[in-house]
Amino acid sequence: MTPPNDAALQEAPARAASATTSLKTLLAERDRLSTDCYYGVTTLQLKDADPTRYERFYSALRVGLFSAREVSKFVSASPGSREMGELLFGLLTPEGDPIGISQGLAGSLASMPIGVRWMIVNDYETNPGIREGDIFSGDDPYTMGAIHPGDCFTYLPIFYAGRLVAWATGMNHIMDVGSMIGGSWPPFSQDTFTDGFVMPLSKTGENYEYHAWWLQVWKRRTRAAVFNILDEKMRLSGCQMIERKVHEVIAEFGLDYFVEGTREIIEDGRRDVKRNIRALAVPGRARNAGFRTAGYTGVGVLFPLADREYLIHFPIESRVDGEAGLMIDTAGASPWGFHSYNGFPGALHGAAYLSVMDGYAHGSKINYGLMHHVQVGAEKGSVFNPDYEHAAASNPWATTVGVISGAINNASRGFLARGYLEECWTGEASWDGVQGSGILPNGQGWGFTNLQFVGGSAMGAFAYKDGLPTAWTNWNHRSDIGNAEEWEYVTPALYYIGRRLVPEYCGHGKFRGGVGHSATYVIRNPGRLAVNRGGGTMARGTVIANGMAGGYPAPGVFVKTYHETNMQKRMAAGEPFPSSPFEIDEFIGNGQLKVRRSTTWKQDTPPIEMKDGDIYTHASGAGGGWGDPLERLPKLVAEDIVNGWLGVETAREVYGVKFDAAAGGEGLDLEGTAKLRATIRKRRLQRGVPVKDWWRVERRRVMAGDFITTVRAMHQECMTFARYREEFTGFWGLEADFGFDDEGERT
Amino acid sequence: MSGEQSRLETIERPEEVSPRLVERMLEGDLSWEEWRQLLKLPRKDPDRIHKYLRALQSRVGFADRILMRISDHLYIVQSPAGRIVKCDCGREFGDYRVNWKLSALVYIRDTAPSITEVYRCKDFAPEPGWSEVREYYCPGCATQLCVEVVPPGYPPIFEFLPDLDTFYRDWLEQPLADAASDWYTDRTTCVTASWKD
Repeated sequence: MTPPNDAALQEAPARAASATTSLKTLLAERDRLSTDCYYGVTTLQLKDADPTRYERFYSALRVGLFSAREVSKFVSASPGSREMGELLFGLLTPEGDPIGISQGLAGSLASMPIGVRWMIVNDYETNPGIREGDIFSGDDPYTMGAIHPGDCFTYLPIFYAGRLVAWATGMNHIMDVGSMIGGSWPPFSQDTFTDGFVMPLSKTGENYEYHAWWLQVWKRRTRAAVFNILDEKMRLSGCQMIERKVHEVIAEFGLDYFVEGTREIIEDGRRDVKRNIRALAVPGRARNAGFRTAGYTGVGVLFPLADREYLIHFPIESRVDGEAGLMIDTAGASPWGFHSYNGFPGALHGAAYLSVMDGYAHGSKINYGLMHHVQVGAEKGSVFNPDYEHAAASNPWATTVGVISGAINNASRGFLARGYLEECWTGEASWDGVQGSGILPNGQGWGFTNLQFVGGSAMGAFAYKDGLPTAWTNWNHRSDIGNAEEWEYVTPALYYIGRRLVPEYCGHGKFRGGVGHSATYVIRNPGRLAVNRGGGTMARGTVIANGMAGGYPAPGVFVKTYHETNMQKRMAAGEPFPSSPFEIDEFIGNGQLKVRRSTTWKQDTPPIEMKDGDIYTHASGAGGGWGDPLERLPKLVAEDIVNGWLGVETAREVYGVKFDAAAGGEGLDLEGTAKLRATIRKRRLQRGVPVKDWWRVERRRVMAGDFITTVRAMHQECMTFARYREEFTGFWGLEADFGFDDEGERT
Repeated sequence: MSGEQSRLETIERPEEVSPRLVERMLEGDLSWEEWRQLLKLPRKDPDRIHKYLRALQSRVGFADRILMRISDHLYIVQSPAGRIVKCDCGREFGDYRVNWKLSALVYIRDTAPSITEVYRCKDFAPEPGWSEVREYYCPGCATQLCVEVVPPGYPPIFEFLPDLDTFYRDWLEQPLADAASDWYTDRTTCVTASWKD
């Protein structure tokens, strides 16, 4: 593509880097000048001089990004991209700083500067060279900040009059990443060599055309070549649309304006976030924590280093200083391990920035300015910053999503303190994805990921209203779980027999979280098929540890598998069949559904072979509650019962509401409710123990290490970091060098 | 969201967030439309905290000055004993630099039957051994102030420690009379150290 011969080219650009300035030089200059403000931009001269022109300039670039996403996704064949919009486009400075992003997987803006910086520092400009029309692709978490290898990036350098003026980039989540276990988030991986097809940024094409070898790599190294190649082409076409838009914008505004304006946009974004923190937050410290299990016991036949149970701990501490600086710190998190759930900094930073977008970025230009202002902390050697470059990182989103939730909840504490109740809510969300691989009866090999439950989860409760089900995700602000029919045609052995909201599946509270959802599939004509799950926190624990204002934290994810059933016969006979995990229980209970064996998974599933008539069901996306459930208006509890979200027993035990189910909509007993609530309050005072008394008993238990081995190991391993050692030994009044004898390494 | 919605207000500018609106907010009397308008304000009303603290103060039954609300029912107040955490029922939780949970009652759910009373289905109930559900109650009014679900042995989470002096001095430009350099300090372990036999 030849840039237009416009007036901008005729003027000698005074401020833009010359065509001969190397990217390394530019990067060094950018780093030197980006201390407090970005790139030495101390005043927003263009904005101040003509704000309308400035905003029109930004809008033009943003339109380019939005258009790239909305148009190019139709090049893809994957419902993840085409229908759900699990993709993101960005426009970057020559040094790699995002100027703007499209809608979509916004957390991936954190990856973009890492990838470009890697190319610059490693002198890609010399070898393999960076020229107009070159295409660079990759998905490596370590070198390019990809959140996980399932997130693939394409970069296109944008040249104008012979000089590199920007980068266009696009990313999306692919269907299969070519790992040992089929799908895109292998739940079992010992190190990066079992993570799948992990590729540092490589020049994969020239003159806007992919090299043939690159497409062959997709074909040979992944199980979903058709989808992955079309995704690759989608990303390139979006990047070319952005390139065209940049050329148009420079033609109109001039190259100097483009260079200065994009730096001002970033500095503007930084100031917006700082201003919003100052307007909404409170200086100080807010804390939460998350926990995630990884059941690797039994993998030792192949991977002896990984053969154990893990309980991964990650504190989330948000510190606001007097200058409205914000640090989101995970100090004290578990060390990295031989499991899938480590993440390199791109994953953690992306999560942290998403919480900032949710809390403090309204009215702002989402770009590197946010990243420049907000600090993110992960100790070297921890699960979010492994000191082993080949550590597995196939599914860090399973843990970092908890960081988003915890940091949103932390931010809500500031909103509550300042009286901005409208902003207060519990941002808890978990996610799940059925994935797998196999060979269809016609001999076609395939791998897949069903991204539906990445596309939507329930909202947690607000401080004034219940959360909505299936309404959002904190990583894609265009929430959409996609049509079942779309998923069925790319997962031909899995037929939906139901998508249902799950009663009782929420964090209770004065305002309850939105109820989570389930999907249930019957397996038909699979050939040979093994499925597994990639996803967030499973139900051994909750999504996040500390609830809001007396509400219960949201429960985690569960999966159930049923084998050797009579589903074929029932379907052939036109008989009813269950459509949710709870209906399955009912059908089994009343003898309609015959099942020879079944398993409930509250931790990640290994690959499970599924055969004709088997059933797979899973539930995810429950929201956390806000406030004491005894304060919930009885009529809201009654409505929940009538709507099927809540059982009468839960209403009685948790909410203190008396309801006569036989009376239907008239069943609410207000007088009985008042008495019951008074009784529950008395019961609380009777059974509650002064924390001082509990501490004395519990301390003896701590000193004896009287926990299951995995919990003991979690405490011991986290104490390798001073932050947790001080917290743990300080709280329990232990010697500074306290430790458990066996280190709890094996179960 | 929960009360009668008879006085729908139009809130399009920060100046339109009146003291009465803030009172209605605390009474749970706003309609979704009003909450939505508050969410869509182009910028927040910077004096919200003053309207808010006045409304809060009028709702509690004690005279101690509320310095900051830290949860639905908990406040940091200026009391004769210094800056302490206080429940709106009047129960005091001590120095705000110490995790208030240390002055609460706690009920631990660490068995499957007790956990499934609140996470009703065993399929998604946290598992004993891996997790315990800690419910913290106010010893004065029995309100459930917080629930945390953590592995056994995990120190209670100190959910919010504001830097009050920086906030009042630098952000509100109304410094507190007893400002001192050690107010923004976590003193939780000082208390637990004193509990040792």
